[in-house]
Amino acid sequence: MVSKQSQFDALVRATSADLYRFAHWLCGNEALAHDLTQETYLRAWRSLDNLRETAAAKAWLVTILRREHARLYERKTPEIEPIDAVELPESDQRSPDLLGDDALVRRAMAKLEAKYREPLLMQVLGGFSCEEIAAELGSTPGAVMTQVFRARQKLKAALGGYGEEGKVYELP
Amino acid sequence: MNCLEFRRAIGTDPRHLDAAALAHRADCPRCGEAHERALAFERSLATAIAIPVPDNLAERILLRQTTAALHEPRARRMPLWSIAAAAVFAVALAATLGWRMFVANASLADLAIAHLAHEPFALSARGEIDDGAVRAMFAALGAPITRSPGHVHYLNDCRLGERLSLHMVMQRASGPVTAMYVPKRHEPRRDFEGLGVRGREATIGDGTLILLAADAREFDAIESQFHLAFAGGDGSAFGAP
Repeated sequence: MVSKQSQFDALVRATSADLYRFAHWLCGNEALAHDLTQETYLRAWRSLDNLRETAAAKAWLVTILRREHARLYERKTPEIEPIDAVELPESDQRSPDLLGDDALVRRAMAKLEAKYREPLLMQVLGGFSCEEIAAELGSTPGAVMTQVFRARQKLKAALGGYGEEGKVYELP
Repeated sequence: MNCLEFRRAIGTDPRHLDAAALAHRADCPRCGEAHERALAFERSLATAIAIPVPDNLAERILLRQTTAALHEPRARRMPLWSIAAAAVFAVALAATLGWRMFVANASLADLAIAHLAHEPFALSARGEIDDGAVRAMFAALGAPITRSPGHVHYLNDCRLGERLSLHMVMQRASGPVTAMYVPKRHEPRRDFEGLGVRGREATIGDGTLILLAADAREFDAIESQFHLAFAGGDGSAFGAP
């Protein structure tokens, strides 16, 4: 029989990196993202008995994280910069040419409105379907499809060169 | 699926295309090229948003969680069955403690009256107990008698508080009289009344006799018979006060 602690260890190791990244894109602050991630897992530990299916773990954690993030704004207005003013980290291990491309994409991503950025992050980072994103955001799959489509259009337009399809095939 | 629909599909999620989109991609070279570009964009997007994660993030999370867990109450949630069991236990404990407190503080007379409710059927017993059986019960209790105290219709050894006693019922003209004999306990002679029951207790032999009845008129006679049972003789020396 797997103990609760073993289950939680596995959950943390499998999901914490992507959850931290999601938190970072949500709040735009490294320290705050770290705190949000810690708090999310602490709450997850306390209600781990509610997690029935491992397949649902990531969506469950994202729900907790988004609630924690919302609570943060309920409690106080944090003194953080708007996400589009944030200098995004570039200190990863990739080669300088790729690093330059990443920085451009990150800046474009940071400038996206939250209503486009969040569903796109959930799709690309979390691997969620449009139906799952709609359930999480309290929206409809059709609306989510439009949001992620437009998010890609805007990113491609901001980056230049990628944007031709978006311009030609604008959704109604 | 036409080209417009295909471009919408790859703009929505280029990594997960349905069968119709894949069929269109196979038939349309331009849309195939567009899909390749879309996938390349997805790769660069996925790489860019995968920002660096703090060193030892998982270990830090686990450290905080295990530290917090050490200070959590052990049993935060109880299953319903254990709540029910706890409630039953609490009631039983309260009843037991209440009874023990009552026993610790109650007089012998109070205990005897309370005992009546435990064996209510005894009052209606009609079959006469054999004299030999009555003497044997007294002997077993360490309070031997030389003769029967009269016609006994119910006989049992019962606990009164912490003490073992003999519980008897004698059917008399005025109604059933309960007699309880508690060895090694010496109470001064007195009459009492409580809960609609009239009673008397008196030291007889090496113990106390308690008589209980709705009507006390037979008490003197029965008390005398018990004196005779323990001391022998005709009982005239132990008459009513």
